[in-house]
Amino acid sequence: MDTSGVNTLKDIVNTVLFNTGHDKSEFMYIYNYVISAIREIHMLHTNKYKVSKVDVNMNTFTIDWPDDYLGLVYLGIPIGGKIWTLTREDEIVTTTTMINGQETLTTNMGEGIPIGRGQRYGYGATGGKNKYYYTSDEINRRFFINGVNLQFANVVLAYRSSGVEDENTLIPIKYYLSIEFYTRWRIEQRKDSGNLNNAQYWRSEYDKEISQLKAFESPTLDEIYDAFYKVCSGTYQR
Amino acid sequence: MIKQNLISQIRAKILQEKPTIDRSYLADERRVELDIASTFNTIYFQIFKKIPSNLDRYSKTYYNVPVLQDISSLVYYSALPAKVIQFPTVGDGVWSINEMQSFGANFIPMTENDRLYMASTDVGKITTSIGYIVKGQANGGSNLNGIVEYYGNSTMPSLVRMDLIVDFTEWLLTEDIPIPAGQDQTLINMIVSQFKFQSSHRISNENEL
Repeated sequence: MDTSGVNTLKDIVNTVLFNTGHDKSEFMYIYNYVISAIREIHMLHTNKYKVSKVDVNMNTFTIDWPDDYLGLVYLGIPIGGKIWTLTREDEIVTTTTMINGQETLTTNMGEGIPIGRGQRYGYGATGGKNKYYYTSDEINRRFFINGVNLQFANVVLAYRSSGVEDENTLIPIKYYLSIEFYTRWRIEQRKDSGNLNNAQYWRSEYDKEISQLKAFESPTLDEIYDAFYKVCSGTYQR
Repeated sequence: MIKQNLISQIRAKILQEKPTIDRSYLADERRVELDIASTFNTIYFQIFKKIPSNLDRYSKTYYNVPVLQDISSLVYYSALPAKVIQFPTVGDGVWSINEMQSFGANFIPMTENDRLYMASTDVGKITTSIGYIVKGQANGGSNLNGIVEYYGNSTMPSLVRMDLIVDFTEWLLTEDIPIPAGQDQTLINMIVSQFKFQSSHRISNENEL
């Protein structure tokens, strides 16, 4: 069997130290840069994300962000074995009212009033509209959801996180060179007597490696065909 | 080279002419040992400047060094079992520290500055490595060689193994001193050249009445 496709975070750090020849006195700095590199790769350069089932606060129809939340991929509910994503609607009322120390919604302020679905039948029908909506309350690190008959206690949240839990977190080996070049770049920046040319050199190596990583993670030909076929449906045969 | 032999060789060169009271005094074994110690510091520093990892060969291993906890500050520490050479690097002459029977916990040299801020960093929150800071003896303490303080999230072992680049005076007379290749004659010549004797003055002038 070939070498493993993943390695623990700690082993990645030791490998970077081994390859760069840095002294163990720089272990902690390099470790910190490796974590930063992995976070940046997950945030900006890959299509990897975390999916978790999160609780809905039925008093306020809010969903708290997980502690490791960096950015949203989608918010959805399962219907018929598939995820149906909620629609972003920033005009949702995001205030709440404190009553007896409990956060709640007051309808006379429009809080929690479902967004209408419009008329679907008869004259003047507007046709189908989305059923459930969400908006982001960044200050309080939560989502507000809205819709008719909001009765689900959980939703599926897909989000970007750092991807680092502890030093035994498994990191894909395909990220390794990006991590090493990022670390070398940041080490050069850190030095008081750092050579700007060296820092720029490692930055450009990092950028090149990220481009290659993205190319490596591009959809396969089959996946592209499947994406086209998905918008079509088979016809009947007479 | 055995330490006693090195000292004897240097004394022999110093005393190669007629051993006078002055020369015997200056070439006292203990004095020669101190001169060798300062010369070794110079040689090790030159090696350190070129390739620090080459100093692995010159380290001396101390087993079963206890890890203690200060009652008032709750800081874990070990007394250095020997005097170490001071290098201009984090960790000084404390070359490495490991657990006695495993390499489980990484012991990483760091500065007091690092310790202050590391707990707030990503690595400080998740690493199981233990940082150590080499310090002088505590106020009123009896740790004449200095101490090593430990900081980290992991459980501290009760005993550790230390590799130290020790001062020449810490080697026993019967121990084999590793001398860098090609440096043995240099070492001897550097020390002997410090003992340049002038001809002894006559106390009296026989021509004087």
